[in-house]
Amino acid sequence: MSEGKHSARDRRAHRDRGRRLKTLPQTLPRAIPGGAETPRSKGSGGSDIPRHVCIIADGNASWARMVEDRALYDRALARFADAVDRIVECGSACVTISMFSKIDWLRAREHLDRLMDLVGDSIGYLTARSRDGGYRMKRIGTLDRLPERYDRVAEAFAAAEAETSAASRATLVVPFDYSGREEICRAFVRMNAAGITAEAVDEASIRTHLDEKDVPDPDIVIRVGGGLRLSDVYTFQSDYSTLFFLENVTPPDLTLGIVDRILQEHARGYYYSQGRPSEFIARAG
Amino acid sequence: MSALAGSPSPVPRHVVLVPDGNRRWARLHGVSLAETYTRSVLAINRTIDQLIDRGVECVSGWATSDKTEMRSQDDIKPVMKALRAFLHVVTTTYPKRGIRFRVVGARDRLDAVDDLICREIEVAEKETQDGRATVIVLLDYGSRDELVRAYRRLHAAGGGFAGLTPEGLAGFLDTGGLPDPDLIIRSGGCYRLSGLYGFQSTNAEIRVLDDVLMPDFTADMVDELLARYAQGTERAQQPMR
Repeated sequence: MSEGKHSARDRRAHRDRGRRLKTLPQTLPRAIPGGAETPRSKGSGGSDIPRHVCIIADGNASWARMVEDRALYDRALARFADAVDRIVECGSACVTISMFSKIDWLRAREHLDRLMDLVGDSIGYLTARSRDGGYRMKRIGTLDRLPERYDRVAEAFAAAEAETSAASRATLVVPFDYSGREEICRAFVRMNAAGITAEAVDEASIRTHLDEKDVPDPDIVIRVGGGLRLSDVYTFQSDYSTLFFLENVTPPDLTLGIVDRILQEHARGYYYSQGRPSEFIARAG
Repeated sequence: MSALAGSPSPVPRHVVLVPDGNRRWARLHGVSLAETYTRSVLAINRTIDQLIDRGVECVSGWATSDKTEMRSQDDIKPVMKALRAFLHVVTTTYPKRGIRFRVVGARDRLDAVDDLICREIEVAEKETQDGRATVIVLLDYGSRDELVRAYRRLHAAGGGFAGLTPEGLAGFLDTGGLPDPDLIIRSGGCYRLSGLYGFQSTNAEIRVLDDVLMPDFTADMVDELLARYAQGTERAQQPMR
């Protein structure tokens, strides 16, 4: 399998790829062009267009700082909503925005008060934006650990789902107090209750007993704010997702230019190319 | 899961190597896949030694996934050859160095490909069972496949589904008893987990090396990655408000 006759060509391709990335145009088209030049995407749909894009707002430092700064938080939220619009425009049927994780419960009371206030407001804002865009909103995770004093959050989610339930253009999933590991445990419990035996169990039976069996696996996971981890988001589902960990991009800086770039690079089969996406985007974006 | 509450150590307890890019390396340098794997195994052995030297308790190396394993005999043979070379190092040096060896993955399927290799793995595991540090090789492994096995083990253990927690489930995975990965190093520029330790690595730092194909992985890179990991844990330890 030495394939000696290809080696010169491959060496050249290897070199040229590095060169091409460094000279990408600064201006970007508004949507993915119909046919990517070398479609190599192996997303679960086998298509250049991601069926599901998940955006994780960093759970730690940068997001916590924004809770102290309302203007910054609002700008980040608007950025995320704009990103959802763009991703749906490009043909995706599902977008997830993850802003609150289990770990946030460990924060100080004062911080948590402010955060829950912001979450309530965010859901209201995203509901309005979903109404404009024609998206059905869906909460995943649990409200079991939500203290009573934050009832407003539960109400906001209930209103969001009720108000947008008839929309069908796309689904906007908002995890709240969600843990992918806990979701797998819940699936196991449901499988057992459904009488699935050790002999009958397979990957598909786990898949169909997850919380949201109709949400496709994310083809792309974007994380802003510097974290280089998945932090228990879509633990089962993100097995083969292409990961864009944007080290140098904070949530309020997630521009449409960057979103476009990610969609394009995904269509091109970016996961085999060179240059860290973060540095690359910082340079070109 | 304790990025806020606990105080993560600056040295990762469990490091995972995803040695990607062998095929590309073979094409680029015009050599056979078998020779490339030989070089990769050398690089992996060097890296394992260095990580254990630096205080890492547990090192995993990915050999084959449940998706790639069945391509053809031409592909399987060089992998088995490299694996045997690795096993030789394991049985001759691990016992005296205090390293335990373990294989995770769908071992029953491996039997069909090469029935002798399973015996050799069992021997290597038995001879090294007293080690303190652990080296794990993932063979024919996929994380969803592993969850299916975990479900079967839960059943065999008589249920225990009521009140099942992530910690409880973790004990039924192939990796039961081992610490979760803290750092995943993937060579070859592919920004994916590709079914690697899905359940276990939810909080692991994922580092993808773009320009490095596995045979070119060096000692300096290991230290650089460990230094960056330490910086990350330092940041996480800053007081939260």
